[in-house]
Amino acid sequence: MTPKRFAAALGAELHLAVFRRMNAGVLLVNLALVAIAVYGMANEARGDLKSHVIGADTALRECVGQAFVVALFASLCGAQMVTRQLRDRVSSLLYLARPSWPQILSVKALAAAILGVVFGLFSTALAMAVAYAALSPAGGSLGSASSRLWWLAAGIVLLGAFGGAWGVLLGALIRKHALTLAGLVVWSVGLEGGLIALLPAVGRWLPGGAQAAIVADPDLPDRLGPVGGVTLLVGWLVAAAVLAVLSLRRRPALAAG
Amino acid sequence: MIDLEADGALAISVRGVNVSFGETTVLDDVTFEVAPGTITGLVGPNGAGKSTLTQVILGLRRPDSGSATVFGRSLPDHPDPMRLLGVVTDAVNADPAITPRAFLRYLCAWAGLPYKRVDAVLASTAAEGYRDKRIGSLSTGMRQRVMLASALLGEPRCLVLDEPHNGLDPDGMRWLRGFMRQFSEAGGAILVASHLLAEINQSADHIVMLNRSVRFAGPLADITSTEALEDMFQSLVSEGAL
Repeated sequence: MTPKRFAAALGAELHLAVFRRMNAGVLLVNLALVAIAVYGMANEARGDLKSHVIGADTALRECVGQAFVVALFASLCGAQMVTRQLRDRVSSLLYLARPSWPQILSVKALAAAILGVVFGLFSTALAMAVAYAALSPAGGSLGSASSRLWWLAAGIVLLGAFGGAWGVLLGALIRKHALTLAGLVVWSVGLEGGLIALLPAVGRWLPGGAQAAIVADPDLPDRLGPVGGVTLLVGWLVAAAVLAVLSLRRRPALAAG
Repeated sequence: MIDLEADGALAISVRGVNVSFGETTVLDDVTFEVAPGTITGLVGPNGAGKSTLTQVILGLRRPDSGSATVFGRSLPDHPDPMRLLGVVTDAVNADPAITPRAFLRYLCAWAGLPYKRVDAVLASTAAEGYRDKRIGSLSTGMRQRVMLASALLGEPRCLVLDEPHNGLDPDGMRWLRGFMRQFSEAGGAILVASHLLAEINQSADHIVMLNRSVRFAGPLADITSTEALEDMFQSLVSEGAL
């Protein structure tokens, strides 16, 4: 695939992603949840901040860290980029247009990652705005933030990018539209969190453990470092990509069944 | 690069294809070919294996044994399959959430085709009138025309049409008949699977009768001169029911 064709296909995927009303809906729900979570956290932190139990920088980071949920919402958008087309039998035609699953998945994963970056930027900006608005009466201001806050913000954007690509690859593996979306929610919200809480030594190696490492989640003290977290996420992506391509080669192109 | 004109290369060649789903044999040693400049009708009762066969030809399903090639190679082995073969079958579909124009542009981008093809194929399938409506809101006949438009995007040399008459009104049927004749007279090859024997009788030059295995393959004139197509189809159905 020439770079020109890759760029054209990437543009087409992004154009389609913008067209999809579902993506706008997912983004809105994502932002609403981020706003609620940050506001709730800010309410808790405000007292500690006033009584100088924690500093403004810590309070801000605890609040902004709530935007990590972007990884889930970006993965939902990424997954449906594949599963909707499998369900609607568009994927077979796409395969005839470009008969290479590695190329199709690469383009879709990159498009979903770009979408995830957009989600991450919106989520981080909203989280900072809400945290600042809620904490400033208690003495929290962005001026008092250390570079760790900006690293955290970058980490959240990275989680959005990872989530998008992760969703594409899981969608290609699981194939069923509703099952993939429900599975992602149940796993991310319930099962993975439970595993991390109950078995942190195992949980730190899961994708959620890697995400916790990137945003320095204080709830997982036994986490990897940020570099280790990024490396682990890349490892999960590579493993999922290999499995997805093998699965699609074994059962070429036909719909989700 | 394949020389499509060399040695009168066959548009479609199916050789000894066997497909089973578990214990059920769906296709049994199916062999036939489609030459450029001809329309070949593929007929058979429900469950005869027509759709599975088209999926094998398109490379969407691997046969247990045998091979199906398009201009000498398995279709996915061609670098740009859409420039060789266009397809209308229930194994492929248009994205219902977007407009025909957006959908065709999407395919052009993936297939490396110029966007100007979009307006050309919408015009040639008389689908311009609803190019900006959501595909999901279109009637079956309109969607069928959009699928035909997508099949023509790459200016292919061969078409595989599985029940292309579905949802078309009499005008649409007449248009499709004329279109197929024009396409084959220009050297294109068409494999058309249909339940509408009258349409096949009017359109096709050759016929393949399938009921898990090929029961007859040859010029349509051979049948009509000896036995009515409907009678032969009926005997095929009765045979399948036994």
